[in-house]
Amino acid sequence: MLVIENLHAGYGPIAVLHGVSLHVDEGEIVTLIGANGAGKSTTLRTISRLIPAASGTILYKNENITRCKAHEIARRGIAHVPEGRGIFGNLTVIENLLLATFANRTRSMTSPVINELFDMFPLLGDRRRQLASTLSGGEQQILAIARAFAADADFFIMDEPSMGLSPILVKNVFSIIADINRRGKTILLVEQNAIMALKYSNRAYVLENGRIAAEGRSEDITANEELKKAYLG
Amino acid sequence: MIVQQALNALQLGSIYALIALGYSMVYGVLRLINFAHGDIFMIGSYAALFLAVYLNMPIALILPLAFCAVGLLGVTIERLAYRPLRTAPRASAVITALGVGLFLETITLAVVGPEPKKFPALIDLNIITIGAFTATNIQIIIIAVSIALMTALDRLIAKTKTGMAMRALSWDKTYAPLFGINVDKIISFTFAIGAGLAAVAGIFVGLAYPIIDPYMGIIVGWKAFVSAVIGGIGNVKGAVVGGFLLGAVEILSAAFLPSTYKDMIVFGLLLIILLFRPSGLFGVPVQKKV
Ligand SMILES: Nc1ncnc2c1ncn2[C@@H]1O[C@H](COP(=O)(O)OP(=O)(O)O)[C@@H](O)[C@H]1O
Ligand SMILES: [Mg+2]
Repeated sequence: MLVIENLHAGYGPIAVLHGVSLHVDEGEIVTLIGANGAGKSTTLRTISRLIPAASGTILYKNENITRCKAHEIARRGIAHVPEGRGIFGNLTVIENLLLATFANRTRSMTSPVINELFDMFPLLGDRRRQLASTLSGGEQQILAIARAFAADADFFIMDEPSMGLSPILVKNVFSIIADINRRGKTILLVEQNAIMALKYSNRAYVLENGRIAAEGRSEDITANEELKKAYLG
Repeated sequence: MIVQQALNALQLGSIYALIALGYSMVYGVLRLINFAHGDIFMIGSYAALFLAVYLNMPIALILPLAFCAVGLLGVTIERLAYRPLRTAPRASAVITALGVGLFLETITLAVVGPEPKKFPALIDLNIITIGAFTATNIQIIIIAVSIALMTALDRLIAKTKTGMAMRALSWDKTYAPLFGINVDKIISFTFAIGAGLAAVAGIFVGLAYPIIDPYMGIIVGWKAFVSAVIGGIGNVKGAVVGGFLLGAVEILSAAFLPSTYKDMIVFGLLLIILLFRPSGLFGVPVQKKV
């Protein structure tokens, strides 16, 4: 579904990614792990075109999207749930969800769609008229995920969705991720919480200084003593 | 007498509010004070004069046409002058805005000359008397059309996806494209609406005070800017309240004090309000995301 080949990217003169190649098949959950500063967020930002690729190609559903603009990529069905969530604090919960439908013009947020979303995320239903900035961290994360759902994306890229959440909320977020996957969504996940992420994902890549250092099935990565020492604490 | 002055205040306030909206909306999406905005208002006046005198158009055509033409001018200015500076320090963009304003003034000067022009009487003046209450039809039209436009804008911002996107941009521009928002398009749209409303204000000034000149945008632009700041720049309701407040203060001071005091009082009011509410009446103190 997503194929990245030899991707180079960075911030102006600062090169961060030095030839990253990876692929995600339809229906998979794939985890990208790596130390702080390895370039995980940069990889995701390049996919959603928040930053441009210096070279390399990104294919999505067999189409080259490397040069698409960020809003066009969103409209093709890739939803990036960014690090720090990126919700609009001056809009209400329901407005944040409505806004996400910009990504999909054919889908109007009629009440059945909204109700389905609030069935999935009941907590948001109770807070629908509240400003998003007044939500707790966990609620904001759920809103950020729900928003990707409202956009009716097929492919979710999630940057550290468990960041800053209490252990119980982390579990909650991971079960939401599993649920989304069961509903047919493909997911590329970046996580600090590598053990948990590997438990929930099919395959994983290890990123080291802007290069893929290892890849494999999640249980193999978990079982690999060397990798375990280096990345899983 | 009191009713008369109240209508004068509402009329002047409508004009300030229409212009203040453009300052405030552009600031909301770009964090830019578009100092060319007063001159865009002046261009609106001349555009209407041109349509009336050379093309013999009636007011009902002039209003929408000038709105669109000047709206397009606003979009062009953003595209050519501000967009290349979007990531540059805000000071560079503000200086560019001042430059664009001077450019609009000098080009108008070159085309129409420095002498003031008589704005055509697009509406036959009628005095409406109901009991002790008198008003002119022009006053009523200006106030009514302004309020209708402001209401429409308020609905647009509150209820449509485009309006939501405008509000979202004022919170955060980096992530907005992730939700399919075409940031450039929303910014263009904001400039179009802001400039269009300023053009309408330019026409209303021509109707109410029918002498126009290429420098008319400077002082009116400043006062509209003051209105936006008093209301809380970036806040649409604030711009409207600020505009009407300024109109009222100006008419009141002109009624009771020598006319030379008027502008001093207006700008004094700005200083006093900012002293007590640095973010304006409706502004939220800056405390955005981490
Ligand atoms: N906006 C930026 N400008 C310049 N350098 C950045 C920026 N964001 C990240 N970097 C640098 O890019 C490298 C990779 O960062 P990032 O992709 O955020 O890492 P990770 O998500 O794996 O922790 C780091 O060295 C970081 O300092
Ligand atoms: Mg990161």
